Amino acid sequence: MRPSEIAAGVGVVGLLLALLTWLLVRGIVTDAAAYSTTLRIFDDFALAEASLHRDVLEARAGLLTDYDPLVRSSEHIAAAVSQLRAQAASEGLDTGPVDRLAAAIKIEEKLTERFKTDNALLRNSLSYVGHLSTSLGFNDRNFRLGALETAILQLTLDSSARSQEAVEERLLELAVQPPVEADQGTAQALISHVRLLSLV
Amino acid sequence: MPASNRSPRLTAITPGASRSIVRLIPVLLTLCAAGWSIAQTPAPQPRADQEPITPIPAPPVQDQRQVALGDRLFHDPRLSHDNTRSCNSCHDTSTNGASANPPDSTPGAVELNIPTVFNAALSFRLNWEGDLRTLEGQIEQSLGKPQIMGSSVEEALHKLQADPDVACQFREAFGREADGAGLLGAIAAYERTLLTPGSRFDRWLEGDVNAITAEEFAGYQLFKSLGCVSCHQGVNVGGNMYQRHGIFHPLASPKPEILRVPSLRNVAVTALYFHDGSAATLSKAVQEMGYAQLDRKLTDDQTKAIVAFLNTLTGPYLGKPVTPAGQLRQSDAPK
Repeated sequence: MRPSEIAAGVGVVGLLLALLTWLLVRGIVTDAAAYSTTLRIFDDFALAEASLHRDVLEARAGLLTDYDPLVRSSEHIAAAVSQLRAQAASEGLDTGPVDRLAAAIKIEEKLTERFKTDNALLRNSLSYVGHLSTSLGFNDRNFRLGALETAILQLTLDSSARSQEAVEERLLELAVQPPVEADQGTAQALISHVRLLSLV
Repeated sequence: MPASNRSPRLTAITPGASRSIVRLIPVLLTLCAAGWSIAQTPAPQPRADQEPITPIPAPPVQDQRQVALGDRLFHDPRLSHDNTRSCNSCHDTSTNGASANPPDSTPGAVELNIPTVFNAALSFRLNWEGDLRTLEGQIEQSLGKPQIMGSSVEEALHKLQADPDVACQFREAFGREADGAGLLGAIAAYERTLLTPGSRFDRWLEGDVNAITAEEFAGYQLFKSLGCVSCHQGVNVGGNMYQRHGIFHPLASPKPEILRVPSLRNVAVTALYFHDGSAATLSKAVQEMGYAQLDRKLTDDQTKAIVAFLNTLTGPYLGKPVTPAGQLRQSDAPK
């Protein structure tokens, strides 16, 4: 082996040693703990937000029947943002990004509350439609109301413009030919629920 | 055939008939037993992971010295400006955690119904309007409101610091001199203990099928199928969302328009009802809610069944069932 090759090998080894030493020193510097803490808070935040999104979808689909999990997720998100702010302040960092994140979370919280409110109304009205459709003999006497119930139930499966039009058409038919007098009160209640459904 | 000829034949019991009746006795006894059995049929087994209501948990583990201090402060009238009212004056923990007094309509008075403090810690927001997120914030607001305590954290603290016994208890509980955060934190810690786990309905949720009757279970089913449960769900049977009132028809006072859905825990013993206290009985409240929020005119049987279910939500506090409140003395009533 020529001296130049040996010198090159020693140089490479030296560089590697320097790099490893730098990495070792970098690994034990004091801000590694802060970095790790910040990373953990981000993880908590991401997990809570993902849970919130999952819970909203489940609640909309009727798989989640109470809103306590949504409340817990929102609390965890808020706690994570508070921790991030405290962490940034303790490190002397700019808290501007945390403020922007907090503002976005506030909007998300408002949307979540609106979802809970609207979803409750939606479920109320759908339960009324379901209740009527299972009432013995009601739809036999009032086939137009039965057609409206069917259109509403179809809308829960397919919310396309065509399904919405079908509901409007059934409502128009009802206006032209009201149900038998004995069922007019129920029909009016059903129409109120259908109108409400179109708003939420 | 003349009636006079028919009558003896109908009333006479022949030996054959007598033997038939004797044979029927065991059958009749069996039928009676079956009838009794149906009447006593326990409610079906709950599917705990699928019910929209969950049982109240045990109170959280907290520093008992802080809880004891909070208990003392909750009952201390020095927290009010004129030293006449404590938190307990309006939230009587020896009865239902509230009062039976109707809201005062005089300008400047407390115009909304007093909600119970029991299980308030389980609600996601506090007050009828749900404008407060923490117990500490709610306590501070009540201290400062002229219609309630007419005081402030600083004023109350000033009085308490002058009491060596309270000051000592503060130091023991928090390891520092009495301060505003300690005052609010101690009362909040006490309020977190004001939970009523172990209601009959919670026992049913936990698997005790004999805890509620078949009628009460039917009321629960109706509560769910009618749609009441859309808003009144979760551990507090409400208290975890906002809702408009008067969706289909007006309900009670129009203001405030948006309310935090109230908890139905202990509802059978916390009359008056609604934010303005306009419903005196639970039956009336159920019927008015059905009409205003669900557009349903509930029959008497439906109302009775739902009320029967709501009765199962009454839990115990310190081993005794929560009971209805009495009227406050005039001096204790908020102005």
